Amino acid sequence: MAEKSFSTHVNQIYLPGDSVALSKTDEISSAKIVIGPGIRKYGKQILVTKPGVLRTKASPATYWIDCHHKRYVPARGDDVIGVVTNKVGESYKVNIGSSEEASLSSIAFPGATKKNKPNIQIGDLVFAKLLIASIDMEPELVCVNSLGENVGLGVLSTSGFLFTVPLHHIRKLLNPECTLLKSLGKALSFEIAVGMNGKIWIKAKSVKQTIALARAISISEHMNKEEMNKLCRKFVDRQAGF
Amino acid sequence: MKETPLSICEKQTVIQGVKEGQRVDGRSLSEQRKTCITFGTEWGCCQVLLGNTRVMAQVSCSVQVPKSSRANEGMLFINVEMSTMAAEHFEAGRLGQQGIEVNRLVERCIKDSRCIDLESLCILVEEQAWEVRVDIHVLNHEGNLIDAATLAALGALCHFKRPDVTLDGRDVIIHQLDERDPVPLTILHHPLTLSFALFNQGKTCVLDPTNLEERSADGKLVMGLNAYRELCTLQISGDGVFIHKEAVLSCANVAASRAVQMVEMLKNSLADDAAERAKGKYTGLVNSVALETERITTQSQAEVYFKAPKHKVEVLDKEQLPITKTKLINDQGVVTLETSCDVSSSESDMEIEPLPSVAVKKIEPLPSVALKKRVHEEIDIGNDSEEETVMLVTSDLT
Repeated sequence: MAEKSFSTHVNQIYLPGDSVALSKTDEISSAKIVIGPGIRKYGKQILVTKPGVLRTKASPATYWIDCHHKRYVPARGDDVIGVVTNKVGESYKVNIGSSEEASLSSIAFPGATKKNKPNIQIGDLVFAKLLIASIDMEPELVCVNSLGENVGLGVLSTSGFLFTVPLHHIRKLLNPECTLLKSLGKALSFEIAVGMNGKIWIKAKSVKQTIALARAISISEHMNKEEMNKLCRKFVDRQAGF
Repeated sequence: MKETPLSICEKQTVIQGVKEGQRVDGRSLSEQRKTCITFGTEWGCCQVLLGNTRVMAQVSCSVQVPKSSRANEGMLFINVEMSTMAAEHFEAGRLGQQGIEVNRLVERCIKDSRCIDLESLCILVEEQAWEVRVDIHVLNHEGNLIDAATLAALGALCHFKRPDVTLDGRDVIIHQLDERDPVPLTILHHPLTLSFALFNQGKTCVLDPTNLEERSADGKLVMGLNAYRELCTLQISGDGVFIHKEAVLSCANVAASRAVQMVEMLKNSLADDAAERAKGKYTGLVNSVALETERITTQSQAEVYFKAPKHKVEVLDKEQLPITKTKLINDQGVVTLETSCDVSSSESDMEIEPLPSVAVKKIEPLPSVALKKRVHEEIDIGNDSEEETVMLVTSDLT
């Protein structure tokens, strides 16, 4: 396969093993280039390791491959939703969909002390931030910021519903330009927590509404803006009783 | 790897939803997922898609010495394989509790109901007989493996043809497939299973449960029936589950009418397969990939115009695709690759410059198909209509 330069081939499909080269302009400018998921430096070559579409972001110039994923790989700073599976001493084991279970200390909650711990049952959901995400270590979660303050993380109510979507759909939903959740919110009031690990927790007034919202979000996976708007209009009509 | 644990809120929502007659995937309580049956190029290869559950069965045969207790009968052997590919908690080579249950139920439904005429498989009494082996491979587990496995096994057995045999004195001649037309197995009736998940202390039964429903339910009721409404298998499992007599009868009625439809569907698929083979343009399981409900990419094609796609994409004609009775073709039956996955890359930068002249062979632009509008499958959200028939009216049972 002929070598392609990064900048002229953004939004093209790449397969594992394809190599990408820096374009003339990239080489001349001494600015740093960041290569992200799906691209790897191998000796002098830059190779693609995942099948997908080449994407870019300006300053610093970042390139990565966007592909369909369901399995989550922990990354530091991500907000994720996990299921508490076990309690080991002072910490909880939380399944966040990664290869290894994450640990969450019982004092990593706002206002928690050694004597005053949160009440968490096995099977509960927690919305937490990844503090440590290294390939060789167990991921660690926290529900506070560095100052120990409440930042909206913590245990989620058991009356909502949890469902899983592919990771690219999460990125789409969290994109500031995506209006799906806002438009749905105009029809129904609901609470939502979107985890970068593909898990979405949602809670509306009734089970029926919760299920309807969960389905609307799941089926919007392959939709573009217009189709999403159409879906929302249909959804609003349904809720209004047409 | 361990199975993803079930959270309290998932379980509660499923149970509460079923109480209100609402299922998480929007079906009514006695509605099955979309079922699709496809056959491979080999005789006796059948793949069943039940929603996202995918099971493949392959039948093979060999000549063996019959059992001394049944000297004038052939043998039927059923084997289930569940690899890690199907679900993370399955182990290759080890069936586990769930696997043994599937294996035994398929055996009970197909072998013990004597739907295959084993006597016709005997070649020479006490000396030679055909052993028919059904290998069932679970490819994806999204709940209700038993129904998918039995349907796949039955489909494969119906589709299978064994080599013809003639006797010359006591010499047995097995003819090659090109020498003499192979012979289908003698199938006396078509038994298949239908599973119900039991909720609400056995008062509410939910047909064709998904993985989540199976795990949230109190128990499970499996019924094996054939198209003549004859019951072949019945199993109730679960921890201390109660079930009302009326509930069993009502489930049996639902299952019997479904079984008739399913057998009809299987026969239609077999007839379609035979017709295609007769025409000689047969593509095997390739078609089932096009039927996949999930797709990899996102944006509608009207917006993304590839001037120079890097990898040429094979575009199937509409006519080439099988028109199955289930109408599972979600799109216009067109498999294409599209770019762009998120909204962030605004539509304006979608025009891609043509490749420089150095770049590989000449690539044709995609044909006009690329501009065809995608038609989304109409999916009902928040179904408000009161059509769903609650199978069991609880007040009747007390």
